Amino acid sequence: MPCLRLPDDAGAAFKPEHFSHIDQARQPVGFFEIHAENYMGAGGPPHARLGRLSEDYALSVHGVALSLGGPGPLDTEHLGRLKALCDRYQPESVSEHLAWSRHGSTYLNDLLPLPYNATTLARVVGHVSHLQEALGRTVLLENPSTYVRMAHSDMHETDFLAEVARQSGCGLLLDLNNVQVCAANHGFDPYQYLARFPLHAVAQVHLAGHALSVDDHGHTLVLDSHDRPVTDSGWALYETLIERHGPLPTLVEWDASIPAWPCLLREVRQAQAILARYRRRNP
Amino acid sequence: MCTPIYDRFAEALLAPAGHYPGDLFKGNESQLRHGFAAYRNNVIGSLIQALASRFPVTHTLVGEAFFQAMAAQFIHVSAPQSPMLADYGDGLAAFVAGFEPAASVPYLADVVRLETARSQAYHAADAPPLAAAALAAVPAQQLLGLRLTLHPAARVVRSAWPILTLWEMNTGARPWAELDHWRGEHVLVARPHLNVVCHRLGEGQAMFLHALGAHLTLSQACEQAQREHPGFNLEGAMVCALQAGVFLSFS
Repeated sequence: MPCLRLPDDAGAAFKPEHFSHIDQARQPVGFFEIHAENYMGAGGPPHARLGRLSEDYALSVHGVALSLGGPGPLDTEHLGRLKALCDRYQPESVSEHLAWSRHGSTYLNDLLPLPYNATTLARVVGHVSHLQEALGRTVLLENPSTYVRMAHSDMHETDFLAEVARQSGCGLLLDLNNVQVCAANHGFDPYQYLARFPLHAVAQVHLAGHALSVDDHGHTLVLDSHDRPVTDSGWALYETLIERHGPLPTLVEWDASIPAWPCLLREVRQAQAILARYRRRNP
Repeated sequence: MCTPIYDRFAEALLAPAGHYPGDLFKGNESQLRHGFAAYRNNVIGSLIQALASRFPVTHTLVGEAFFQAMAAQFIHVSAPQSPMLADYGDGLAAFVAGFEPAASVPYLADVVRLETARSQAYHAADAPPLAAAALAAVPAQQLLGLRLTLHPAARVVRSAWPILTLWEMNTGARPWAELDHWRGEHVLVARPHLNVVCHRLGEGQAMFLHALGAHLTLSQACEQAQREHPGFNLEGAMVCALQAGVFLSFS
């Protein structure tokens, strides 16, 4: 299967509120990423903006609703919409999540956790293969952020992802913020998670910020909020990854409390500075 | 074997607060309860947010607390059946019309209909609207027998309330003013190019466009409009409609 790639550069989540700024002059970003579901309408301003964007920049299409980790077969109607979007814009990368979001016909609009065991592994491999066959290309699967641990899990998440990649041939999207969120919520060391992660399959990295929630009983939970800058510990984890692996396409994600474009661009440049430190001099 | 896990997880997410399928999880229970509550908040909260961004004026008219409670009840009876959240809430107007606590805001359901039409127009397929020149080329004797296809973005919303004036005042498009006469407004929503535009229509015009949308011929639609509204002027209505970019093609 063809395996297009994003440049080993930092990119930004594309937000419509930044369009006029971005459209004025070429921005020093390696690519833009969009959420697939926001561009599945028939026409109108979203497609006009995306059309302009895809003329000038490499594009990553990031799906959030295919429910690859769910029990039922894939929603073929939705798969058709994703295929139409990819056929129209020919993105350099297509990615989705290791999560589920559909119950029967009800769409739950969240990335929900699944147990990791032989049954779910076979199912996810089947779904990813179905997706790749439908699109005629490889896709990337993203490690999730989770707030609970499932009782029926008997595999480590990194082993589960490694097996999905091996059996389906998909690549992986390593979301370091999700690693930080899970590490804090489930009490493990993010560096040990990174050490176990099948880095050979990673084709993209996500960076984002997270929020702390404290309940009435004083229990803390780290939420995958994408509403603030990457933390210092997030940058340190990223540098460790890039030092170990070498440069990778890297996205700075924001989905709420969207900052002005120059603020987002500053984080993109911070990632680019780290990538530049580990770029081989004679590629 | 695994399916009941997903069923029970999803059912507990959508059930009233307090349901907690603890045996699905492992670890410290109070920590897990917090984690599960986060999923519940995400599901309901993100759907309320999706409705609030699709229906901003409705949200403004009733305020945050009322909108949240109303949206939560709508989600409870009408959870999304597709990941296409840009379409989620097409049934909200009908729900609001029967929503007892909103009875004191009798125009609310029609404002929801207007916002539904605007959002549908925003995402509708792109197409160049039919130019007046194309119709000018049709021989006069054939003109009245034409059936016009409406542009994919065109919608007519008829109301007994001044919905467009309310919409304009609540978006800053028109200064606030006391409404002396609460006269009904019929609204044509169009998006000939990139911007969604609303136009006020006379009753006859609204009926005429509605009839054309139902694939009646020009003469049939005109007769229908004139029967109810003797002052209806076909030529004026066609000029307005063509200028607004309401038509796609004719046959």
